[in-house]
This record gives sequence, C-alpha cells and structure tokens, in this order.
Amino acid sequence: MTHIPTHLGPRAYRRLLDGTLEEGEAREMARHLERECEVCEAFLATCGEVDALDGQVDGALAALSPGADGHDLEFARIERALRTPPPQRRRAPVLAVAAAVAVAGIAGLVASRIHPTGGGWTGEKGVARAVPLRLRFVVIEGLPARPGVEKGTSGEVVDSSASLQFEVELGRSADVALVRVSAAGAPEPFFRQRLRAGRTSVTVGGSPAAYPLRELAGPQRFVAIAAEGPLDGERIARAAAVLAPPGRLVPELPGLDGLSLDVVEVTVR
Amino acid sequence: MSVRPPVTAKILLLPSSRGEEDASCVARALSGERAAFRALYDQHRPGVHRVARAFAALDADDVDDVVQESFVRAFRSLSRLKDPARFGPWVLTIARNRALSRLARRRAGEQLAGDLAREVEALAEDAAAMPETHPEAELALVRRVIAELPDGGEKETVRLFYLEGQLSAREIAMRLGVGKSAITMRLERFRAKVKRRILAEVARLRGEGS
Repeated sequence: MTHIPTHLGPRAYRRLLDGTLEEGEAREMARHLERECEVCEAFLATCGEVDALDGQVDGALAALSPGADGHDLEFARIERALRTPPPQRRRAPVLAVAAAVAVAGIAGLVASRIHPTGGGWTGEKGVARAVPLRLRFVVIEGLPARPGVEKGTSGEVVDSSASLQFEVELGRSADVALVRVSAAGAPEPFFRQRLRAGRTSVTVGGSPAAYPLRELAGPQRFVAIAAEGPLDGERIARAAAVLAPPGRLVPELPGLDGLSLDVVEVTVR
Repeated sequence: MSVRPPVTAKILLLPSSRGEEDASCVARALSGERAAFRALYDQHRPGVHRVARAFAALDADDVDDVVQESFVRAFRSLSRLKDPARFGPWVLTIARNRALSRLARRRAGEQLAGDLAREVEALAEDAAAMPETHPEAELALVRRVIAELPDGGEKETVRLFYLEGQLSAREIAMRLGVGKSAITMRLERFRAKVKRRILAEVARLRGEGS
C-alpha cells in the first residue's frame, strides 16, 4: 500500500475523486475526514480548480431552501444564445453607452423630456406575462466632455444633475413604451417604439438618448410597458395611472391586462 | 448492491429519482425537444442562481450572466455529458467555474480567465467519475453541519443565505454591515466543512469498491 499523508493534499484528493486511490487508503482517508480537521477544510476551501465534488456540494446546499425560479425572458435569452455561434457577450452595454455619449456629447443626446414614468419592483426581473421584458439603466454623471457612466441599480439615490440611459430587453418583438411616474403629477411617457427581440438601448432619432433628472426630486419610477399588439396612447395612460409610487405593483392592477411590465425606481436628490 | 444498515450520518448508495428524471430530460433534449431543455432549466435554475449569488463581488447583472452562460454551455455540450443523471451537479460545477472565471477576468484580465476556465467536457468526465449518493442523506448531512456551527457571524450568514435563501451574499453584507469579501469567506468556509463531510462519504464508498 502506498503511504498517503494524514491530511488531504492535491494528489490524494485527485486520486480520491477519480477513483484511483486504493481501497485501504480510501478507508483511512474516510476515517480522517469524518473528524473535524481545519487543515483539510483549509485545503478544500482553497484547492483551486472547480471539480465534480463542488457540483455535488452545491447540489446538496441548493436543496436547503427553494431558490429563485427561472423565467421566460431568461430562458428566451438562453435559447437565443444557443442559436448563435460562440457566445461573445461581455459587459458591453455600459461601455457602448459610454462611448456613444462621449462621441456625441450629452447635451445633444438627451431625449426630449415629455413625461417620464417610474415603477415599483426591483427591475431585477421583469414580470413575464405577454412578452418577456426587462428594463435596465445606466447613470450618466459628470461633465459632458468627460461623462462618468455607472450601471444603475433600482432603488439607488441619484443626483439631479445625472441622466439615465435605458436599455430594454424583450423575449420577442413588441410595442414598447417607457413612462416616468412619480408620486405627484401626471405620468410622463417619453419613449414609444416597436422593438425587436433582444437588447435595445433607447435612442431618439438614431442617437442614444439619456433621460435628464434635473428639476425632479424624490422617488421616480421608470416603467417599461410592452405588448405584442399595438400599444396606443390611451392604453399606456390607463396603465400608467395605476403605477405611481409608493403603491405596490402587482399584475392584477386594473389597466394592466395583457401588458408586460418592468420597473426601476430611483430617488432623485 | 449490498444492503447496509441505515446509519444516520451515512450517505447510501441509492439511485436518485431526480437523477433519473434528469437523464430522461437530457435524452429528450438531445433529440431536440424544447420542453426538455426548459424542464432542465426550470429544475436547476434555482441552484445555479444560488451558486452565483454566493459570490458577493458579483452584482445582480453578473449573476444573471453567470446563470445564462452556465445553461448555454451545458446545453451546448449536453451530448458530452457521460452520465446524464448527473446533469444537476454538472451544471452547478459549470456555474461555479463561470463565476470564478468572471471574477478572475475582472482581477487579472482575459488571459488568466482563459487559463482558469476548464472545459465543460473535462467537468463532464469528472461528474461521471463520482460515486452515486443519495440526495436526501446529503441534505441531512448538510443540516447537521449547520446545526453544529457555533453561534456567531458564520452561522447567521449561512442561515440567511442557505436556509432563508432570499438574500444574495452582497445583500447579506449590507444587512449585517460586514464587508462583501467577509461574507464570501464565511460561505466558503462553511462550504469547506460540507465538502469535507461529503468527501468523507466519497472516500468511504471508494473504500468499499464503489
């Protein structure tokens, strides 16, 4: 029998996993590992390569409580990725926006302020109903010549000097409207367009558009509303009327039938 | 198969029905059935999501990307999975690998990430080499490890992340007022304890010729 060290090491560990450790050695190792051993635990915490034992451990840990279920939008994204050759998707959107803003200058890119609308749940996942939908945003701050671009997180506090650039992701093509809703004042639709499936940065006249927050204060919901069929102004207004903060947004609210919604919320200071 | 007495702490060599269902889904997916891909995704997405959320340095978008990449890679390489009943552990392994690669890429640039990322095919072979264990016994073992943790920050972190399961590691860091890396470290330390106990069972089974 080959000697094996008392504690786990890279070689014994690998042989144990691939089944080449002799039975006697495996028994000895089992006896050792059944007892508390900080040395072996330190090895296991740092042994580097991900392997099948990790999968087994994570499987056992996953069974401790229900996790976050999947949703149509994410599955549609997976299917799209499977249809296209090698996945090259990186964190491009933020950079793309930054580049676009830097080239064109913020002033010229700002969308006409018509009337924004806002929304209530986290925006981390769209409510997948008629059309899988997700709304993301980046925060553009600083001087127009050297804008700073940060990925936005729903719920964050944003300075009124900043602008928001939105990106809409759809599971299939749909009519989409973006609306700002605040606690006071009428909802403000500021974007309406038929968009294809996939990710689309909001543009106006072909240029990336950012929504300026100046003159706003307090909680602002930005809501993406999507419908497979035509989405007219009346329908948007009916939906927007029930979306003002701080009310909870639930799909059962009147006026939301057949619509998909996703919402991000910022507090303007 | 020899019948062993039901020893509480032991993982028994029994076939898992979850594994059988996965094997069936993999076979149907390989024949092009969309519903089978969806079933695999629905079944394992919560676990994959949780693996990614344990890395506090990853934000919500990173986590989504890891989930997506994991399933895309797994589905693309489905035909290379040597033991289809082990789809679950395999896709979780891919998810962990994706998360670590993403962090490595962030820390040290693209080249290191390329070095770190093992091919899914290699992981598929690893998965097939593992002895089959019983999920319910594994779960009991994990619960016992948690119960044995002394009261304190690590136990609280484990409780919030694994037992309640609502918060990400990043959110737990904010709630407890602790650094993100400290939370990741606590979870990794706990995982190492679970790993040791499960590895002990693997060793025991190997010692019996499994």
